Amino acid sequence: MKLLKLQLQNFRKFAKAEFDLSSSAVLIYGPNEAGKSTIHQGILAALFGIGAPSAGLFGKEKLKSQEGGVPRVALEFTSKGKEYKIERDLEKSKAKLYKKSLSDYVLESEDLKTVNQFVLKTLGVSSAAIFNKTASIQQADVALISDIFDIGENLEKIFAGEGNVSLAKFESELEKIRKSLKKERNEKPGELDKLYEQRQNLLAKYFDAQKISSESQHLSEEVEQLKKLVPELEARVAELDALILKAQQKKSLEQKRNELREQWKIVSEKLNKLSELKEKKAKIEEELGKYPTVQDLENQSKLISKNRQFFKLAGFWASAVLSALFILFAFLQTDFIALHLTMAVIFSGLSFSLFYLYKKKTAGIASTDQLAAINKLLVEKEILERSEQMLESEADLRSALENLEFEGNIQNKMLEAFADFEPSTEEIEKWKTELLARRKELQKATEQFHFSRGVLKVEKEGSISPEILAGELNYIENLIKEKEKLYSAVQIALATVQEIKQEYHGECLPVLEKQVSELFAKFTSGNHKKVLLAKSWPEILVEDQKGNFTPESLSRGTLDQLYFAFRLAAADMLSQNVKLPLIFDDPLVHFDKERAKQALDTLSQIAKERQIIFFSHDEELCNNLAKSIKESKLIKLV
Amino acid sequence: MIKFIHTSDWHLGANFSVLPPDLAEARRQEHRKVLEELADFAIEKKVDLFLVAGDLFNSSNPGSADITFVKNLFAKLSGSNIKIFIIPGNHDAYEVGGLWDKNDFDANIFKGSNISSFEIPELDLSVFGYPTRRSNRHERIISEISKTNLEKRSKNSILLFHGSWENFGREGEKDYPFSTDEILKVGFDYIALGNYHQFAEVTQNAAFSGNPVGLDFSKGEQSKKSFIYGKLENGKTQLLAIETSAKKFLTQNIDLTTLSPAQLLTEINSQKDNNKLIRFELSGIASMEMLAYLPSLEQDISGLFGYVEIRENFTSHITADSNTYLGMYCKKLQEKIDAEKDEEKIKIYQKALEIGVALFNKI
Repeated sequence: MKLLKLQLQNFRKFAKAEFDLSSSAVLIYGPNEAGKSTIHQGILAALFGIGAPSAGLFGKEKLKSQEGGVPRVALEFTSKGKEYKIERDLEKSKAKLYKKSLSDYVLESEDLKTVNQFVLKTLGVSSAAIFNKTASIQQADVALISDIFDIGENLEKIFAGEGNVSLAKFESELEKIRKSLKKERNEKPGELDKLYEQRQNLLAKYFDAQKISSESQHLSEEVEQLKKLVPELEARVAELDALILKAQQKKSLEQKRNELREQWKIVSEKLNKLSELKEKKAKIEEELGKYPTVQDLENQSKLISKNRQFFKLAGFWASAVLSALFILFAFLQTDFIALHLTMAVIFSGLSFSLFYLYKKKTAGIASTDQLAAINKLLVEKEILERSEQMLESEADLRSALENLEFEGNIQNKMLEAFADFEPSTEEIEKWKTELLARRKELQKATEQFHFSRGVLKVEKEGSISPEILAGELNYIENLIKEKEKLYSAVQIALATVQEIKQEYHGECLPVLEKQVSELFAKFTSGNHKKVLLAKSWPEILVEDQKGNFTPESLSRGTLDQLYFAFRLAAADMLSQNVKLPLIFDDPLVHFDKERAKQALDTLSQIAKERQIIFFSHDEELCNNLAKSIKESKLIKLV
Repeated sequence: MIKFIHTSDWHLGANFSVLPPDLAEARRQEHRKVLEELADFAIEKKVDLFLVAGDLFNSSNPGSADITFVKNLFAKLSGSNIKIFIIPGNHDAYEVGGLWDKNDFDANIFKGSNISSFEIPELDLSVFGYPTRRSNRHERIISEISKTNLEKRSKNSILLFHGSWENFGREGEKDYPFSTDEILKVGFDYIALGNYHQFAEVTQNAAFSGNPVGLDFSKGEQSKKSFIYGKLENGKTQLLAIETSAKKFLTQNIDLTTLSPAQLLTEINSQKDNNKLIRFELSGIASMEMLAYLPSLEQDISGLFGYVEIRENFTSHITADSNTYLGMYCKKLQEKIDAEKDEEKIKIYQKALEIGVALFNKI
């Protein structure tokens, strides 16, 4: 492929300009700002338009010339022996493709898409980006010339396509997804790892729940059995309790009756005694009736003693007065003294005798014997009465006796109920032994019942049913399947990336190695026979007569040759061997003389096989280059 | 006139394992709630009979909580003078000494290995039932019953049966299969059928009640969830399918072939309903753009439904510039997809393609 002519209209600094490029080496030189890069841009704009993001050097607005007007570009070129022309209206993004028939360009297509596809097809590249990265070598790129070690990476970038996707980035993103799903050694657990763990836990829970469930079933059967057994035992215990109680009741009734009998005996004895006492008392009272009453006797005694006193005093005083009278008479009538004295003695004697006689007569009336007898009787009576007092009253005793008889009757009546109930002591003892045993059994059964029911309740409340867990397991199982599918997909994605890499390495690298070697050998005039990279990628080895070594030890100039070799080989490889024109935008600007000379040699060799468009600010350099190339054209920009 | 409720296929104890545990639990709660509402309806309408045509429990060994729940529910119905009749279904089939023998439900349960009946003199009604067993599930029982000379002591007669109707598109059913003709020959005033999860009238006097609560995303659960409120008078039945309040399981297919991601999102958004438990099955051919979008779909539609899940059943035919990594990636996987026959593997490749495309577009 070869470029023939470039026309620019209202394109940056060119209002209207035409450049003849129909030479195998076009060397364009001029000072800075003369428009070298604009021409470069013009070629790219003509080929790809300015729609594609990496096709343009400048934005759309910057393309317009200072005078304004619609920026237009046109490029004539040959491809496979035919001549074509592309015209573009850069403002409206319109394109026209012409094909030369005889001496005239005939319109081939006005469809932008068709034109663009034609360009890519002609160039043999899949995108403008690839062209830009291989055939169009800009100043910034050339700075990379020394970075021969990054060439692998730089070459890989060519594959990234429009989006500039880095395979490494893609791979690392995939790895991120992979990690989030399933861990590898020393990584954090991923989603699947967690799910596996969850499944493990659920499984354990499920088995537990199943165990509990079967235990529960067992327990509920036991509870059901106990539900029946406990009331049975309770009934028997109650029955035995009743029997024993009945026996006890009977016994206590009998005992009570016996006690009542004893009491009745005592009370009736008391009653007998009481009547005896009463009889005796009656006799004593009868006896006492024969005597005056003690009161009468005492009254009499008092009267007597009163009378006695009177008699005593009256007698004394009468006798004394009479005696005294008679004594006085005796004195007065001395003659009758004797009589009078005698009279006095008689009267006093008489009064004393009278007193004595009264005393003697009354003494018989209140005799002490009689009193003693009475007193004796009274004492006896008192003793009797005391004895009587010691006993309850007869009425009390009688009512007590009645009560006792009443109660006794009740007891008898009650005992009648037990008439047929005559358990032997052995029988009762047997009952008691059974009761004890049954009670123990009942207690145990009740405890077991409550325990089992409690456990059952706790199990029912505390545990999730196996069916629910089975459901959860099922859900997790499905989730795992989904995630495993995703994981497989990610692994396939990763494997595909590896395949792409290998394909790139396996298919591209040997081709690249062959072409780089050929070019490098050519550039170094056979000093270096081979560049090795296919096996050692991304390391590059250079071979010469002495053997293999890394390019580090190469001189600067040789490294440039190696870089050009790579660049050209890559361009050929990616353009499917269409010999694309190479556009160099002042590549040697920072080179020293020696290095520049070497580069020029290389360029002149390149120019033997393909068109080169070379921009430079250095007139001398261009002149030198022109001299070393068979067919060349110098364009000077002002 | 005899008023009755006919229901079946409660599948009580079903664990709703298609849903995450918390939603499954909510479903289990709702399950009971709906059944309680069903009982309340029966009480409110003062029905005479409550017929359960099989599969009351999801298994022959239900959890004790479910058993207790049913006992209480039936006690409530019995307390309102409603007579309950149950036949075991294929899920809770009759076994000697099993579920139906061990537990004391306040209901008339058809046990044993043959058709039997209960008499209700006050309604002048005989209720017949055939308990499902596991051993003879392929036999044509309905045909046999129609040949048996059953002694119908009462004027009215009802049969409870759990089997499969061989109607159009459902030939070759397995559990106690019967045809419409066979049903027509049996001769009961009403045949309460169970096993199908959607309401269906087989003849004028034989019907499936459908189940009151949907269990998963399968086809049979897409229909209205219902039970039957029926009346029987002079040998004629009048049936009313009553829809329950249970949340619906829905499966919806979306063909991606002509859709853009935005259109897909609009389509899904238009279904927005918190009462729906929905599964979207994406089919057709997905574009590159769609592939790049799909990984973020789940996030974009979360919260629109009671539950939502995406099933990817689509294919893709990606052609991309094979000189770029993305192009090479797509080409390689597309080749693998086209060469593969195993559906599962294709799905995995498809997923890998989707992940890759989305990633390339993201970075």
